[in-house]
This record gives sequence, C-alpha cells and structure tokens, in this order.
Amino acid sequence: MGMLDGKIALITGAGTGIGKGTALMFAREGAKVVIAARREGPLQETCALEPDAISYVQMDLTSHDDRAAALAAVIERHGRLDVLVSNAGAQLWKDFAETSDEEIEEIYNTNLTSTVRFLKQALPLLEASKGNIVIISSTASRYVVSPSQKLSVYGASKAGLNQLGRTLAPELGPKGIRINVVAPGLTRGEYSDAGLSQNDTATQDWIRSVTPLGRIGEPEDVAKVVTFVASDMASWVTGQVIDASGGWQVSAG
Amino acid sequence: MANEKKSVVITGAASGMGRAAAERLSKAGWQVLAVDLNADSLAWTAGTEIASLVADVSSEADNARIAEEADKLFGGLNAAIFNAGIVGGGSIDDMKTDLLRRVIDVNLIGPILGIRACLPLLRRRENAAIVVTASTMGLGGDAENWAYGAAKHGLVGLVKSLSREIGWEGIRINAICPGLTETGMTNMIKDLAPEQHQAIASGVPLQRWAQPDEQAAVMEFLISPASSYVNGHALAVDGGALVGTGLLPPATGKQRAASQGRTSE
Repeated sequence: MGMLDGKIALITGAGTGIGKGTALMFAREGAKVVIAARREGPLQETCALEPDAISYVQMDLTSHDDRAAALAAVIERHGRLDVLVSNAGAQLWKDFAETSDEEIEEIYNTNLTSTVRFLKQALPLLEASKGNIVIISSTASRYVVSPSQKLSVYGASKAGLNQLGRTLAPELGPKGIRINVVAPGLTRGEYSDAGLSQNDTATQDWIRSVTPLGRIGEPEDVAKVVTFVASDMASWVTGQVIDASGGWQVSAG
Repeated sequence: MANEKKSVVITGAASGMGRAAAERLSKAGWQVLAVDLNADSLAWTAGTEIASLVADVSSEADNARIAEEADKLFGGLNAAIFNAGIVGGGSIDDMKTDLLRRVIDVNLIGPILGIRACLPLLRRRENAAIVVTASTMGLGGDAENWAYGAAKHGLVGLVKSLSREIGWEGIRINAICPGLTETGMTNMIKDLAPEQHQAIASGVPLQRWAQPDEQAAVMEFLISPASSYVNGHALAVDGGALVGTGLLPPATGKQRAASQGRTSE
C-alpha cells in the first residue's frame, strides 16, 4: 500500500533534482503525477522512468496561459487535483552589489509572483478535492548558513514563500486545504543551477563539515519529506515550514 | 543480529498520543516498550505484543531501568520517543514551587535523563532516531502556562543543540510540537463544556481537534527512514493553530487579573 494511493499530483520543476525525485517517489507511492517545467528533454527523461504513472506538460511558470494549461491538462487526464507541489524556481548565487535589476526581477517574478498566481489559479481544484499544497522553499529562506553564501535576493524570495504558506494556512484550512513548506538545504542535483560545480570538492567538504548528519542531501531525502507532508499521515500538519537539511539549519539558527 | 525487527521505547504511553504511537508502531511491525508511571494505566497492553514498564521518567534510576529493560528485550534501540509529560500551570505569583519543579523535572529533565540512558542502545543500531514530545507551548506562549512553556521551549533547545552533538554519529533527534489533541483529559471539556470545546476548535485553521493517531503518524515519520535528512527540527502538528491568531482565546491572565481588581499591563 502506497502513502499516496489514488492521489493526483502536479509537480512543477520536475525535470531535475528535487522535483524529479519527488515525482518518482510519488509514483512509487501510488500517485498519478503530472510534471511541468520549461525544458522538454528532462521532462521526457523523468516520464520514461515511470511511464505508467507520470506524464508531462511543458510550462513556463511565469506565463499565465501556461499555468492554466498545466492545470487543465491534469483535469483532462485525471479528473481532479489532490496535491500541488510548487517546486519550480530560479536560483541565484551572487554578490548583492553585482546583481542586476533584470536578475532581481527574474528571481522575484519566478519564485514569488508567479508561484502566488499559480496557487490562486489552482485553488478551485484543491478546494474541490480537499487537497493540499507543498511549496519548496530553502534553508536560505530563514538562515544565513555562511557569510559568503551570497543568497540575499534568492533567500528573500524563498522567505516570501514561507510566509505565503503560513498566512494561507488559516485562510485555506476552513476550506479543507492544507498547505506546508519544505525547506531543503543544499541538495545534490540542484548544483548546476546553483553555480556550484559537482567537482567543487572544497565547497562540498565545507557543507559536510557544517551538516550534523555529515553528508550532502540527496533529492530523495527531500522527496521523502514532501511525500509525508502531502500524504494523509500529515492530516494535522498545516502552516509549517519543515527543514530537510540534515540539521544544517541549526548551525545558523 | 538475532533481532531483525526494529525496536522503540515510548514514554508516557498510558494514553493519548503515546498510546496511539505504541499501537501504531506495533501494528507497523515495531517491537515496542511502553513506559508510564503506574501499572493500571498500562493495563491496556495486556494481551498485545507491546511490552510495558512502570517507571518515573524524572528519576535517573528509573531511566536506567528503562534502558536495561530495552536492552534485555531488544538488545538495542532503533528509536526512542520521549513523550511523557504533565500539565501544570498557575500565575507567577501563586504557583507553588513544588509544582514548578515537578513540571520542569518531568517535562524537561526527564527526556534529558532518558536520552542519556538510552544513547548506548541507540548507538548499536544504524540510523537511530530520537523524538521528544514538546508542544505548541514550546514555540508560543500563554498566560499562566509559563512553567510548562519554559520546559517545552527547553526541549526545543535541547533538540537543536543535541542534533549538533550526536548527528555526527548518525543519530537524528527532532521535536514534535502537538497542538490541540483529543485525549481522555480533553474529552472532559467536550462533555462538560461542548460549546467551549467547539469554540477552541474554531480558532484552529482546520476547524477541529486532532486525534491522537494524527500525532502518532508524525512520530512514526520522524523515527522512520522517510525523515532521514530531517534533524534538529521542531515540527508543529497543530492544524495550523500557531500561525493563526493563537492557540487559545487571548488574555486568560488579564481576565483573572481584572476579576481580582488589578490589571496585568
């Protein structure tokens, strides 16, 4: 028996990394999953791993029409939506002083504005199913884990998502909808976008040295937390920001 | 290893979420040692596969006995859930010091002694995990509940610090912070003051009280491989109460102060 038997899920940004790991775990736990992202290649690769359970739709999160089309595709294929995992986002590791206005605009438009709009568009479907929302945030949303982390613009966008989840919980609770946020630490598979090379052993050693569990997170580590919080096992959990970072957050908490 | 089944000790297992956790984990194939303060309260374990032990969690000697019993029964521990706790409140002027010490002893010192006693057994197993039951009162506060709140905030601090001390050994530790949960005690409110019972629920985003098993499910998550990268975290399981307008109707202290002819401002 799977934790998500019979559930219908939409996961954004699921071509790679945490989104991909979550889609595969959802499929193994009995859910039917539609994954959405901009690039078709990674989406096809993810679908090929669980072809019976996962299908995809191309979506630019910043496009209203794309977001509507993704939701319509879920309804057309499966008839309802139980779980929305909002994982798509843009990353930026950069000196604040050197960050351009265009980069700032892109981070907030993608991570915050478009996510807020997407949740609003999905609301009627989740109200109908008494479903739940899981937003993927970041350790950088609450903690400064290194003075040189250069995640100010990104961290503030993710902090906005945390508070979106917290403030929406009391508003959506009476409608029967739960909403939670999962805050991963640095997770393997997210590197290329993060400006961190897989071969950057010095940085990887440093991360291990500040993580109590002594290793770098895998997409599955985060996917397991998302699976739990999306499942009925977490029926009393709403409005929470849950760290999945091996204890990294405590060093800065 | 002679014993392939996973083993867990649960304190405060007489009723409520402790008992729910014992029953849920036993059903899921865990070997369970249920601990509580007196034999009568553990009578429910008779005829089940759940072992029981009478112990006072505030006693160092009793915590040593808990570890001895777990060693004898299981040869090690995959998990430990330090759930035992007592309520105890009163105004800062009036609460008896004996009660204050008891609240801190049972709720805060107890889990610390328990962790210390059980760590050698947890070290024998791969990926062992500890859960302590804090409370939404370990994250927020309420009038005339400061002793309980101090103990529960203490548990959250304990978890954060210990995660950095024993994480390196591969042992995880997290806190669960339950909100309103229906137990034998709260059922009294339901029976005697149904309107108040409902009024309290209406302050919770999910508009109801939790069932004990909804807390037990999160405990199961926190000791299972599903939470393999969750460490040093305090997780509220409160139906969203803490992000709402607050756990309880405000100003119980103020009301009391006003009724005594003074203000608390």
